[in-house]
Amino acid sequence: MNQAPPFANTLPETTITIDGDSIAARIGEPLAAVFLRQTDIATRKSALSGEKRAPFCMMGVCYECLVGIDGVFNLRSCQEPVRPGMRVTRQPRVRRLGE
Amino acid sequence: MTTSDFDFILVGGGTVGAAIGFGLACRGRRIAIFDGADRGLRAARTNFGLVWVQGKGDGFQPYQRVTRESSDLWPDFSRYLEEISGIRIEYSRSGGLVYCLSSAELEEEDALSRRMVADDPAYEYEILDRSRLEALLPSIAFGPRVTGACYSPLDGHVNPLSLLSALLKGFSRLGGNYQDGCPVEHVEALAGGGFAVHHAEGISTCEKVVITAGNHSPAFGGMLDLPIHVRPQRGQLLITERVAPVLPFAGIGIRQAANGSFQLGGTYENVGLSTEVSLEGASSIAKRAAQVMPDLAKLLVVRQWAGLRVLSPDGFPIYDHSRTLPGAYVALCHSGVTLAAFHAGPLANHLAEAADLNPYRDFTGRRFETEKAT
Repeated sequence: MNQAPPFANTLPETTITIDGDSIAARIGEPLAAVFLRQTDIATRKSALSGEKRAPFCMMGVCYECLVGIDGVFNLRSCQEPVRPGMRVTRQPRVRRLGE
Repeated sequence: MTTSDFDFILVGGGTVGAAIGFGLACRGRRIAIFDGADRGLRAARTNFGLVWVQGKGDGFQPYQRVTRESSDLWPDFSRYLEEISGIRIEYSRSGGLVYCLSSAELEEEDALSRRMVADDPAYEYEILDRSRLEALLPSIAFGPRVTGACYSPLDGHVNPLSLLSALLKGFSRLGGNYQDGCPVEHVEALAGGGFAVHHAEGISTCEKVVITAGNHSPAFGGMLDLPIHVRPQRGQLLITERVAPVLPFAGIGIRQAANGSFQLGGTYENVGLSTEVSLEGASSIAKRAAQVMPDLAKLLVVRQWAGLRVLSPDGFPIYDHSRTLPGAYVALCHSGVTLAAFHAGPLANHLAEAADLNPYRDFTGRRFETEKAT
């Protein structure tokens, strides 16, 4: 037979925003996976060199995938399941104490 | 008579052993360090990283002297160590702050500082009231209970893990023989002089042996007629996520590492040899830190660990030698980072040249023994 097994693609579809753009995603998938489907997979820029960084280990230990979600920054997108209406921001710079 | 394998063997390669080894290797001596394995107590990996002078040795001038001497040597030591090892250790003589949460705490710091000046007129400190502390750190919001801080320009900080790494790398580059995962089982004195060190890879001989094994030291002292009084005390640390640099000063309980993480401590627990972390420990550390700088409470904590301080009965270092066997020494302390320059410099120089420990006789273990004959 040649059909997708019944358990594939059952996470409900939703929309989130990344830097204001509406992006298709599935509820419960890791936010980092959404980034890896985009043309620009970067989540932030390095504080030291300014170069773009993106998700890498996908298991919460490398800290490359840091983004802002609903105003809170320095969150590891690989550890954040997608919620409907999530407002995600790529990190323009290092978080500051007090933010 | 056969020649010994080494001039010196160091039993233990933590911050103390690595610094003394580095210094002896600089002097061209043939040195081996035998270090334990991952299940060892490993205090060197759990340090806060202060190169600290304030308040140390209250009532015991010899310790004040070596602390000040080490602190003054640290800048040159840091440059030299980085050059030899090729590893950056992030040292800064930034000045240090003891944050105070009440007038009583501030008065205590003032009284302590006055005692230190009475013992050493070259001691430097300044009591900062709240407004002067705020002026010193305008981009940090202090909690309502902060009354000020005691500041000293003599204090600094360093990356303690990079320091250990640099000392061991430098040691090897200077010809030292470092054996990790090679715990020492037994040290015996040889009939014609010198020692045989029995370790996991076999037996090595040396003219002189220095026990630098932290809380593991008493067992080795027992083999060498060298009583060693030391007990472990647990300290826990929290590490936060990285934020933009905002705190350049070293400090008690709060420092910002070069990579932007805040390092928060500590606890002082008598729990035997446990290096487990606890919720109570995290809670007490976080509570005090947030009272000093409330914005720290918004940061994510990414790591928590614990280590065992190497404490003599009075908390000051022990530099001692066997009662009967020439050439067997011990060096231990809980301030191995601050004293690293002293250990690599003056102490190693002395060990390389002399058989005694006369300049450091105030630090022998005899100070803990009663006046009655044992």
